[in-house]
Amino acid sequence: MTESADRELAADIEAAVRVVPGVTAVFRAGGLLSKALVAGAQLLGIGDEEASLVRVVRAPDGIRVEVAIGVHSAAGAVATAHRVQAAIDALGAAHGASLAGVHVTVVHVDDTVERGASP
Amino acid sequence: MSEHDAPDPRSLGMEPEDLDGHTIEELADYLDRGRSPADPSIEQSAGCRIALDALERLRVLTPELLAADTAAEPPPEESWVQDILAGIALDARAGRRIPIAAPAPNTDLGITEGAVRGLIRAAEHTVPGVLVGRCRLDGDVTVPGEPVRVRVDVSVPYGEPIPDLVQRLREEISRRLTAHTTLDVTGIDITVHDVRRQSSPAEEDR
Repeated sequence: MTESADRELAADIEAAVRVVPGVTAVFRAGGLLSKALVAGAQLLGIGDEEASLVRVVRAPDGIRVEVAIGVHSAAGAVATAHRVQAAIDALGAAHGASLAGVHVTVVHVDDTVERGASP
Repeated sequence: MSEHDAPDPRSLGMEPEDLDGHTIEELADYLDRGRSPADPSIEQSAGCRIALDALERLRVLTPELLAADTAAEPPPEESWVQDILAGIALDARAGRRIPIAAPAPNTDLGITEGAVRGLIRAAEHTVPGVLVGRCRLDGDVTVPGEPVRVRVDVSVPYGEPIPDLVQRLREEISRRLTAHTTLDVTGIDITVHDVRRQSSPAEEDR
């Protein structure tokens, strides 16, 4: 799989995750250092502003996908994380990609949606 | 939020990266502007979103509580605003990654400790008048099945039956932890840290 195919897969996964019921937002995945590097590169005008918030990494055993999400409080983080994992698995299969690992982290639980305020 | 109420973030044990380079004061100003125009660097930061949620709830209660604090004699030893902001700052830290039981072996699901503290704090809006200060998860939350105790400090309004308030809060926290985590929670300890005097309409007329 080429780098452009990886980017396409990451973009498709981000789009698919955004429409999973219970997901309020997709945040940038990765550790503090990698996020800081991306933000710094964008500030310097050398980063790709269109880069997906989803990380797709090629490993010897296959592709690893890393996603960070916000969830509706009413939907539940456990149920929503399971739905996101299923959506990524389905998309990987559709792309013919062998997913060695799917890493989903809930980083925000949105209560404002439940109370009817703007998210 | 006034300058007096907004503490130095460093005094809250908060580092700039916890809020992706922003400060609690900037977030308070952003709320004052109605979150408009939308700032992607804030809206796309989980730490900022957790802090904004808590600041928004706190802001609704602030005029009533400030009036009660002003009326109270002698003045409280520790500012409740400082205490609660310290808790909010802690929530904004991602902290440990807490695993969520996953159905497939190639899957690693989790939730950040900061998100869990934020959802525990948000339980306060189901028990009107109760404010959550500090919140801790005691135990190794990174290991599935390990026993975990939740410890929460709260401030309650004077005149309400405390056992009833605490029980309602405990039930809400328990419901939330069940929906959002697969933690083995062995107990939820709630300590009433402060009883606030509510200002009556008669006092406000004086």
